Amino acid sequence: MIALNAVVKRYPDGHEALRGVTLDIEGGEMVFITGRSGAGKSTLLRLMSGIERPTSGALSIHGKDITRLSTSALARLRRNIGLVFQDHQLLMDRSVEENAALPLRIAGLHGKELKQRVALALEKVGLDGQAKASPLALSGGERQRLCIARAIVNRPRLVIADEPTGHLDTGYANTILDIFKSFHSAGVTIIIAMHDTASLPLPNSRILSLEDGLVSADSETESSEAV
Amino acid sequence: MLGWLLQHRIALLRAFSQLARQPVAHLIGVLVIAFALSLPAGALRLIDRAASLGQGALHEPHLTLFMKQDADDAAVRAVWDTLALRTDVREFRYISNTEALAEMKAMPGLVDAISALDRNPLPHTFVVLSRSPAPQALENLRAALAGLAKVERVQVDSAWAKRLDALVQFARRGAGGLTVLLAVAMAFTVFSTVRQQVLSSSSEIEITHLIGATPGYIRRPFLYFGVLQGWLGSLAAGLLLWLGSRWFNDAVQPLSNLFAMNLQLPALSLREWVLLGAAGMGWSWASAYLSVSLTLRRIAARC
Repeated sequence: MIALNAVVKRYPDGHEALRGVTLDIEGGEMVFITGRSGAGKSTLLRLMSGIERPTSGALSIHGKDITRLSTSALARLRRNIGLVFQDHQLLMDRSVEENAALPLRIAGLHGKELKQRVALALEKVGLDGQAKASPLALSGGERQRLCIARAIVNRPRLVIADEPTGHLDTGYANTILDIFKSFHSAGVTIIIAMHDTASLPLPNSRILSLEDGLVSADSETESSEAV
Repeated sequence: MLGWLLQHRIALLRAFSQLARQPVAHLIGVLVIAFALSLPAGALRLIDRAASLGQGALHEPHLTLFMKQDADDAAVRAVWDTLALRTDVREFRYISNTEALAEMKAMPGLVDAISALDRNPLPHTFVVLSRSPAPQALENLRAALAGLAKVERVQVDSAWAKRLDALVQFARRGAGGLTVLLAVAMAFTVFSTVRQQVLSSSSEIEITHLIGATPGYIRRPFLYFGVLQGWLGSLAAGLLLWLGSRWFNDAVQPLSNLFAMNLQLPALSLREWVLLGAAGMGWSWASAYLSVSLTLRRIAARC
């Protein structure tokens, strides 16, 4: 599903965030990317989501080499990836359901089907009672759930989340992780970047550790194992 | 296809709502576009009208031959015969002093003045059409006719047209410069209005960009806004031109009567309306495209 080969990402200021990462992520995997701040987690996620392109190396998503795609083609590719951001990236002047519907509108969907899909996505994350509310009226955990609803409303085969539990207490963090686990059980590939995985139960998962722009460890957890 | 059309509809509605949200601010923008379009368009219409008046005279080079007051029928006949024989004369028309006086009497306001005269002060006249419009040929013909017996004066009537033509060419250049200046002002207006809108929507643009909006999708509402502003500006420009033409035609009516010439500006034709609309919308679209593309590039660099 995602293949990286000797991927380097260097920013215009000269900072090298990734220094030759090679890895493959298969469909149906649940992958946690861990590492300290500045290890390159977010950069890796942005590359795997098609938001940025590598400076060198090869990177393919859904079998497409993103270095060869046009800006528009890359944007269309991103529609098939559900993205969850740490800082939510919500439109505060729109309602909960309008935020969740945004990817569908971009994809050109409308009418009854759009409403049905939005209602279903909000129901899956437990926000079905707050469809008309403003995101400003939601708590941090609820906003994150709205962000997840927006990510899955297009029924993507791949969901990528950057520190989705970053600002949440353990209770809320577990709720969010449970939502991801339920999608994973339904066959969706999940990639989550997390600063700290020590306190969370991550069953049937692959853990990729990043250190200084390189993969330092690649391991798997057993079923119901606490990492 | 339906989804694509729907996206365009949404973008258009969004552009309308942007206009409705700040009507006064956008009205100023529309007026700038209207003036930027109507000033050069109005100037060019005036110049074209002046040019069309001169063109007739340039293409029909003619001279007016005035006989002396004491010229009798024999002298008139001699001039007639000479004109009939000359190969450089295409055609000529004789206006007797009696005919000329009768024409003048038909003009309103002159009846009383003419009745007060004890004799006809007008000379017998020939209007001569030259075969060649070349200035030298006209001058040769003038000199030849001026030497005939009982001829008071021969006047080359196309001289004024030549001067008018030179003025028209000069005015066209001036109008061209004015058009460029105002087009830049119009582009700047649309550019800065769209830029402000893009910047105020930057968070929405960033989010839609991240979740899969193509540059075309992001640009669309802003381009519609630019085109809409250009369209409204074109309509306002048409209205200004119509009002300007009415004012001009009222002012020029006495002159038209005096010179027995149609100096009035015609109403805007369908072609002119289409050109005005195309110029307004096309230029606004291009300005909006440039503005949104440059601003998006900066926003995309931040993402």
